[in-house]
Amino acid sequence: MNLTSEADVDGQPKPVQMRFGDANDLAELRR
Amino acid sequence: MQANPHVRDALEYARLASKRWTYYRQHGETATSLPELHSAVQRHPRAEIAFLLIARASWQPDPRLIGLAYCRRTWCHRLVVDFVAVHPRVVGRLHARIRGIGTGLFYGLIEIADELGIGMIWGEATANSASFYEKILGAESVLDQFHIHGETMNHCRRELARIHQHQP
Repeated sequence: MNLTSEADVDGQPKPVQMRFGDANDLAELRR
Repeated sequence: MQANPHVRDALEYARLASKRWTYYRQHGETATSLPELHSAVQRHPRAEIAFLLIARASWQPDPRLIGLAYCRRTWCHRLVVDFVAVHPRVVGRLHARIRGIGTGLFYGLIEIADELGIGMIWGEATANSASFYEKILGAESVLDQFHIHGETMNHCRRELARIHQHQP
């Protein structure tokens, strides 16, 4: 399964990749 | 930046998600991939398993984390969304105006639910997030909780298909 979506970045559509995460990702969210 | 209630929510959710993740990890009740989640459910059909779905800015050379959803697969085979956090620098618009991260995470959860044969996703809506859920679910009014199933789930599937149609 390839989880992808799209974000609007300053009015331009850009690809967003999604995947399962772990504790390292949580740490990155807090930085 | 912390004056922004959405930034405050994001920081608080990150803190709470870390705490909960550590607890579930210590009890062997987390999954870090879809096959891992699949096999945990097959081994213990009534297990409660926590997982994180993260979103990265894949248009950047070094894709940064821009959002995260902390979820659980419940003992009765539903998904609960405990926290959805967009990175504070995105909410605070430090570099660019980025929209659609939370929406993308929810549509990703729909795909995961479909893969696992799960028919309902639910969670709590706050005063700051209720309007977001109304928008992405196509619902008239969301109070302190939301339920995604049936036609609401179909609405999200259609929106996701529309996004994928536009992607190269």
